[in-house]
Amino acid sequence: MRKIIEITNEIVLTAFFYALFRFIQSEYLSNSQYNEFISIFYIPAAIRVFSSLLFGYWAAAGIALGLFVDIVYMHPEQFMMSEIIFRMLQVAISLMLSLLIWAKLSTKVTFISNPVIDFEHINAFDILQICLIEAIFNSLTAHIFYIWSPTVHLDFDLYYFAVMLFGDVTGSFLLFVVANVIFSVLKLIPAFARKDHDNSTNNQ
Amino acid sequence: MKIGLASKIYCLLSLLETKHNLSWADGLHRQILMAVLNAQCSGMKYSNQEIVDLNLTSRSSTYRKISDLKQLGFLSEIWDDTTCYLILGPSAVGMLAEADNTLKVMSEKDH
Repeated sequence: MRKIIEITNEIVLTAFFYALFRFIQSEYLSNSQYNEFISIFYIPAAIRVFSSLLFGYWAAAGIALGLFVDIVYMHPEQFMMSEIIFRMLQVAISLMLSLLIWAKLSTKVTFISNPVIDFEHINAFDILQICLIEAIFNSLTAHIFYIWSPTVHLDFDLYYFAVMLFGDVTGSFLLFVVANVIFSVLKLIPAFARKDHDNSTNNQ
Repeated sequence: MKIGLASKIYCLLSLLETKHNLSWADGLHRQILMAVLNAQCSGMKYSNQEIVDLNLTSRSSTYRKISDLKQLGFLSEIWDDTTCYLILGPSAVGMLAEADNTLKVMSEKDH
Protein backbone atom coordinates (compact mmCIF):
# COMPACT_ATOMS: atom_id res chain seq x y z
CA MET A 1 0.00 0.00 0.00
CA ARG A 2 2.82 2.37 0.98
CA LYS A 3 4.56 1.59 -2.31
CA ILE A 4 1.38 2.46 -4.28
CA ILE A 5 1.09 5.82 -2.48
CA GLU A 6 4.79 6.49 -3.11
CA ILE A 7 4.48 5.72 -6.85
CA THR A 8 1.29 7.80 -7.13
CA ASN A 9 3.08 10.74 -5.50
CA GLU A 10 6.00 10.38 -7.91
CA ILE A 11 3.68 10.30 -10.94
CA VAL A 12 1.63 13.29 -9.77
CA LEU A 13 4.77 15.28 -8.88
CA THR A 14 6.34 14.58 -12.28
CA ALA A 15 3.07 15.41 -14.07
CA PHE A 16 2.73 18.68 -12.17
CA PHE A 17 6.27 19.84 -12.95
CA TYR A 18 6.08 18.70 -16.59
CA ALA A 19 2.80 20.59 -17.12
CA LEU A 20 4.25 23.62 -15.29
CA PHE A 21 7.44 23.67 -17.38
CA ARG A 22 5.42 23.27 -20.62
CA PHE A 23 3.31 26.21 -19.46
CA ILE A 24 6.44 28.32 -18.78
CA GLN A 25 7.88 27.27 -22.14
CA SER A 26 4.82 28.29 -24.12
CA GLU A 27 4.03 31.45 -22.13
CA TYR A 28 7.45 32.93 -21.42
CA LEU A 29 9.97 31.26 -23.72
CA SER A 30 8.10 31.63 -26.97
CA ASN A 31 11.14 33.50 -28.39
CA SER A 32 13.04 30.24 -28.43
CA GLN A 33 10.35 28.51 -30.52
CA TYR A 34 11.65 27.68 -33.98
CA ASN A 35 8.13 26.86 -35.12
CA GLU A 36 4.94 25.69 -33.44
CA PHE A 37 6.38 22.29 -32.49
CA ILE A 38 10.15 22.80 -32.35
CA SER A 39 12.18 24.90 -29.93
CA ILE A 40 15.90 25.61 -29.70
CA PHE A 41 15.73 25.74 -25.88
CA TYR A 42 13.14 23.33 -24.53
CA ILE A 43 13.04 23.33 -20.70
CA PRO A 44 10.44 20.53 -20.18
CA ALA A 45 13.21 18.20 -21.44
CA ALA A 46 14.94 18.83 -18.09
CA ILE A 47 11.91 17.43 -16.24
CA ARG A 48 11.95 14.35 -18.48
CA VAL A 49 15.63 13.72 -17.70
CA PHE A 50 15.55 14.44 -13.97
CA SER A 51 12.28 12.65 -13.27
CA SER A 52 13.68 9.56 -14.99
CA LEU A 53 16.84 9.82 -12.85
CA LEU A 54 14.85 10.24 -9.65
CA PHE A 55 11.86 7.94 -10.22
CA GLY A 56 12.99 5.49 -12.91
CA TYR A 57 10.45 4.12 -15.40
CA TRP A 58 7.47 5.42 -13.37
CA ALA A 59 8.44 8.93 -14.46
CA ALA A 60 7.17 7.97 -17.94
CA ALA A 61 3.60 7.76 -16.58
CA GLY A 62 4.00 11.15 -14.91
CA ILE A 63 5.33 12.75 -18.08
CA ALA A 64 2.46 11.29 -20.13
CA LEU A 65 -0.05 12.58 -17.56
CA GLY A 66 1.56 16.04 -17.51
CA LEU A 67 1.44 16.18 -21.30
CA PHE A 68 -2.21 15.15 -21.26
CA VAL A 69 -3.08 17.93 -18.78
CA ASP A 70 -1.22 20.46 -20.93
CA ILE A 71 -2.55 19.57 -24.37
CA VAL A 72 -6.12 18.93 -23.21
CA TYR A 73 -6.70 21.57 -20.51
CA MET A 74 -3.94 24.19 -20.40
CA HIS A 75 -3.15 24.71 -24.08
CA PRO A 76 -5.83 22.75 -25.95
CA GLU A 77 -4.51 21.59 -29.31
CA GLN A 78 -6.77 20.43 -32.11
CA PHE A 79 -5.71 16.82 -31.85
CA MET A 80 -7.98 13.81 -32.27
CA MET A 81 -8.21 11.35 -29.37
CA SER A 82 -6.02 8.84 -31.24
CA GLU A 83 -3.36 11.54 -31.71
CA ILE A 84 -3.44 12.48 -28.02
CA ILE A 85 -2.97 8.82 -27.05
CA PHE A 86 -0.14 8.39 -29.60
CA ARG A 87 1.54 11.58 -28.32
CA MET A 88 1.34 10.42 -24.69
CA LEU A 89 2.71 7.02 -25.64
CA GLN A 90 5.47 8.70 -27.64
CA VAL A 91 6.85 10.73 -24.69
CA ALA A 92 6.49 7.80 -22.30
CA ILE A 93 8.18 5.30 -24.63
CA SER A 94 11.00 7.70 -25.54
CA LEU A 95 11.71 8.31 -21.84
CA MET A 96 11.66 4.59 -21.00
CA LEU A 97 13.85 3.72 -23.97
CA SER A 98 16.39 6.43 -23.14
CA LEU A 99 16.58 5.30 -19.50
CA LEU A 100 16.94 1.68 -20.61
CA ILE A 101 19.77 2.51 -23.05
CA TRP A 102 21.53 4.70 -20.48
CA ALA A 103 21.24 1.96 -17.83
CA LYS A 104 22.81 -0.43 -20.35
CA LEU A 105 25.63 1.97 -21.34
CA SER A 106 26.51 3.56 -18.01
CA THR A 107 28.74 1.82 -15.50
CA LYS A 108 27.09 3.80 -12.70
CA VAL A 109 23.69 2.17 -13.09
CA THR A 110 22.91 -1.30 -11.82
CA PHE A 111 19.82 -3.36 -12.74
CA ILE A 112 18.11 -2.64 -16.00
CA SER A 113 14.52 -3.54 -15.10
CA ASN A 114 14.57 -1.17 -12.11
CA PRO A 115 17.64 1.06 -12.55
CA VAL A 116 19.56 1.91 -9.38
CA ILE A 117 21.77 4.93 -10.03
CA ASP A 118 24.94 5.44 -8.02
CA PHE A 119 24.26 9.07 -7.14
CA GLU A 120 27.44 9.30 -5.08
CA HIS A 121 29.59 8.73 -8.15
CA ILE A 122 27.75 10.19 -11.15
CA ASN A 123 29.26 13.33 -12.62
CA ALA A 124 28.27 16.05 -15.09
CA PHE A 125 29.34 13.91 -18.05
CA ASP A 126 26.89 11.19 -17.00
CA ILE A 127 24.14 13.81 -16.88
CA LEU A 128 25.17 15.08 -20.32
CA GLN A 129 25.09 11.49 -21.59
CA ILE A 130 21.50 10.90 -20.39
CA CYS A 131 20.48 14.34 -21.73
CA LEU A 132 21.86 13.39 -25.16
CA ILE A 133 20.28 9.93 -25.20
CA GLU A 134 16.94 11.34 -24.08
CA ALA A 135 17.13 14.10 -26.72
CA ILE A 136 17.88 11.59 -29.49
CA PHE A 137 14.99 9.29 -28.57
CA ASN A 138 12.54 12.10 -27.97
CA SER A 139 13.38 13.88 -31.24
CA LEU A 140 13.16 10.63 -33.15
CA THR A 141 9.83 9.48 -31.72
CA ALA A 142 8.36 13.01 -31.84
CA HIS A 143 9.22 13.16 -35.54
CA ILE A 144 7.52 9.83 -36.10
CA PHE A 145 4.45 11.32 -34.41
CA TYR A 146 4.58 14.54 -36.47
CA ILE A 147 4.89 12.55 -39.69
CA TRP A 148 2.06 10.19 -38.75
CA SER A 149 -0.29 12.78 -37.21
CA PRO A 150 -3.09 13.78 -39.62
CA THR A 151 -3.27 17.21 -37.90
CA VAL A 152 0.45 18.10 -38.09
CA HIS A 153 1.46 15.99 -41.09
CA LEU A 154 5.09 17.13 -41.20
CA ASP A 155 7.49 15.74 -43.79
CA PHE A 156 10.69 14.40 -42.29
CA ASP A 157 13.29 17.13 -42.22
CA LEU A 158 16.78 16.44 -40.91
CA TYR A 159 17.24 20.12 -40.05
CA TYR A 160 14.08 20.18 -37.90
CA PHE A 161 15.26 16.97 -36.26
CA ALA A 162 18.66 18.53 -35.45
CA VAL A 163 17.04 21.71 -34.06
CA MET A 164 14.73 19.66 -31.85
CA LEU A 165 17.62 17.55 -30.61
CA PHE A 166 19.66 20.68 -29.87
CA GLY A 167 16.69 22.22 -28.03
CA ASP A 168 16.25 19.17 -25.84
CA VAL A 169 19.96 18.98 -24.95
CA THR A 170 20.31 22.70 -24.19
CA GLY A 171 17.02 22.76 -22.27
CA SER A 172 17.92 19.86 -20.03
CA PHE A 173 21.67 20.35 -19.57
CA LEU A 174 21.69 24.14 -19.24
CA LEU A 175 18.88 23.95 -16.73
CA PHE A 176 20.93 21.40 -14.78
CA VAL A 177 23.89 23.82 -14.75
CA VAL A 178 21.69 26.77 -13.74
CA ALA A 179 20.01 24.71 -10.98
CA ASN A 180 23.45 23.73 -9.65
CA VAL A 181 24.65 27.33 -9.60
CA ILE A 182 21.46 28.55 -7.87
CA PHE A 183 21.73 25.75 -5.31
CA SER A 184 25.39 26.59 -4.60
CA VAL A 185 24.50 30.25 -4.10
CA LEU A 186 21.63 29.30 -1.79
CA LYS A 187 24.00 27.17 0.26
CA LEU A 188 25.93 30.31 1.11
CA ILE A 189 22.89 31.46 3.11
CA PRO A 190 23.49 30.11 6.63
CA ALA A 191 19.86 29.09 7.17
CA PHE A 192 19.90 27.00 4.01
CA ALA A 193 23.33 25.41 4.41
CA ARG A 194 23.27 21.72 5.28
CA LYS A 195 25.67 20.17 7.75
CA ASP A 196 27.05 17.78 5.08
CA HIS A 197 28.14 20.77 3.02
CA ASP A 198 29.87 22.39 5.99
CA ASN A 199 31.72 19.17 6.71
CA SER A 200 32.78 18.76 3.11
CA THR A 201 34.18 22.28 2.93
CA ASN A 202 35.96 21.81 6.25
CA ASN A 203 37.55 18.64 4.92
CA GLN A 204 38.84 20.54 1.93
CA MET B 1 22.68 1.51 -1.48
CA LYS B 2 19.14 2.91 -1.51
CA ILE B 3 19.00 6.63 -0.79
CA GLY B 4 16.03 8.93 -0.28
CA LEU B 5 14.57 11.39 -2.76
CA ALA B 6 15.94 14.41 -0.87
CA SER B 7 19.47 12.96 -0.95
CA LYS B 8 19.17 12.19 -4.68
CA ILE B 9 18.09 15.77 -5.40
CA TYR B 10 20.88 17.08 -3.15
CA CYS B 11 23.45 14.96 -5.04
CA LEU B 12 22.19 16.21 -8.42
CA LEU B 13 22.07 19.87 -7.39
CA SER B 14 25.51 19.94 -5.78
CA LEU B 15 27.13 17.82 -8.46
CA LEU B 16 29.05 20.59 -10.24
CA GLU B 17 30.34 22.05 -7.00
CA THR B 18 31.48 18.82 -5.34
CA LYS B 19 32.61 16.74 -8.32
CA HIS B 20 33.94 19.41 -10.68
CA ASN B 21 35.81 21.61 -8.25
CA LEU B 22 33.53 24.63 -8.50
CA SER B 23 34.04 25.39 -4.82
CA TRP B 24 33.04 28.76 -3.52
CA ALA B 25 35.35 31.55 -2.39
CA ASP B 26 35.42 30.80 1.32
CA GLY B 27 36.42 27.19 0.61
CA LEU B 28 39.27 28.34 -1.63
CA HIS B 29 40.60 30.88 0.85
CA ARG B 30 40.64 28.13 3.45
CA GLN B 31 42.39 25.70 1.08
CA ILE B 32 45.17 28.21 0.35
CA LEU B 33 45.59 29.04 4.04
CA MET B 34 45.70 25.33 4.92
CA ALA B 35 48.35 24.71 2.24
CA VAL B 36 50.54 27.49 3.67
CA LEU B 37 49.97 26.25 7.24
CA ASN B 38 50.80 22.65 6.34
CA ALA B 39 53.94 23.75 4.50
CA GLN B 40 55.06 25.88 7.45
CA CYS B 41 54.40 23.01 9.90
CA SER B 42 56.67 20.77 7.86
CA GLY B 43 59.39 23.44 7.70
CA MET B 44 58.76 24.50 4.09
CA LYS B 45 57.62 27.70 2.46
CA TYR B 46 55.43 28.07 -0.62
CA SER B 47 56.01 30.78 -3.19
CA ASN B 48 53.08 32.38 -5.04
CA GLN B 49 53.84 30.21 -8.06
CA GLU B 50 53.89 27.01 -5.98
CA ILE B 51 50.44 27.84 -4.58
CA VAL B 52 49.21 28.34 -8.16
CA ASP B 53 50.76 24.97 -9.09
CA LEU B 54 48.58 23.27 -6.47
CA ASN B 55 45.74 23.85 -8.97
CA LEU B 56 43.17 24.75 -6.33
CA THR B 57 41.54 27.09 -8.83
CA SER B 58 42.59 29.24 -11.79
CA ARG B 59 45.79 31.30 -11.65
CA SER B 60 44.04 34.69 -11.47
CA SER B 61 41.56 33.45 -8.86
CA THR B 62 44.42 32.07 -6.71
CA TYR B 63 46.22 35.44 -6.84
CA ARG B 64 42.99 37.19 -5.83
CA LYS B 65 42.52 34.83 -2.88
CA ILE B 66 46.17 35.32 -1.78
CA SER B 67 45.69 39.07 -2.00
CA ASP B 68 42.50 38.85 0.15
CA LEU B 69 44.33 36.75 2.73
CA LYS B 70 47.24 39.23 2.84
CA GLN B 71 44.86 42.15 3.27
CA LEU B 72 43.16 40.45 6.20
CA GLY B 73 46.52 39.63 7.77
CA PHE B 74 46.18 35.87 7.42
CA LEU B 75 49.21 35.70 5.12
CA SER B 76 52.45 37.67 5.03
CA GLU B 77 55.14 37.63 2.42
CA ILE B 78 58.89 37.31 2.78
CA TRP B 79 61.33 37.84 -0.07
CA ASP B 80 64.30 35.66 -0.86
CA ASP B 81 66.20 37.36 -3.70
CA THR B 82 63.52 37.57 -6.37
CA THR B 83 61.14 34.95 -4.97
CA CYS B 84 58.21 35.94 -2.79
CA TYR B 85 57.34 33.30 -0.18
CA LEU B 86 54.09 33.16 1.77
CA ILE B 87 53.98 32.58 5.50
CA LEU B 88 51.20 32.80 8.06
CA GLY B 89 50.32 36.40 8.89
CA PRO B 90 49.69 37.97 12.33
CA SER B 91 45.92 37.29 12.22
CA ALA B 92 46.44 33.59 11.51
CA VAL B 93 49.17 33.31 14.14
CA GLY B 94 46.90 35.13 16.64
CA MET B 95 44.03 32.79 15.86
CA LEU B 96 46.24 29.72 16.23
CA ALA B 97 47.60 31.01 19.56
CA GLU B 98 44.06 31.67 20.76
CA ALA B 99 43.00 28.18 19.69
CA ASP B 100 46.08 26.78 21.38
CA ASN B 101 45.24 28.57 24.63
CA THR B 102 41.65 27.32 24.51
CA LEU B 103 42.92 23.78 24.00
CA LYS B 104 45.33 24.21 26.92
CA VAL B 105 42.50 25.41 29.20
CA MET B 106 40.32 22.50 28.07
CA SER B 107 43.04 19.96 28.72
CA GLU B 108 43.77 21.55 32.15
CA LYS B 109 40.07 21.25 33.01
CA ASP B 110 40.16 17.58 32.02
CA HIS B 111 43.03 16.99 34.40
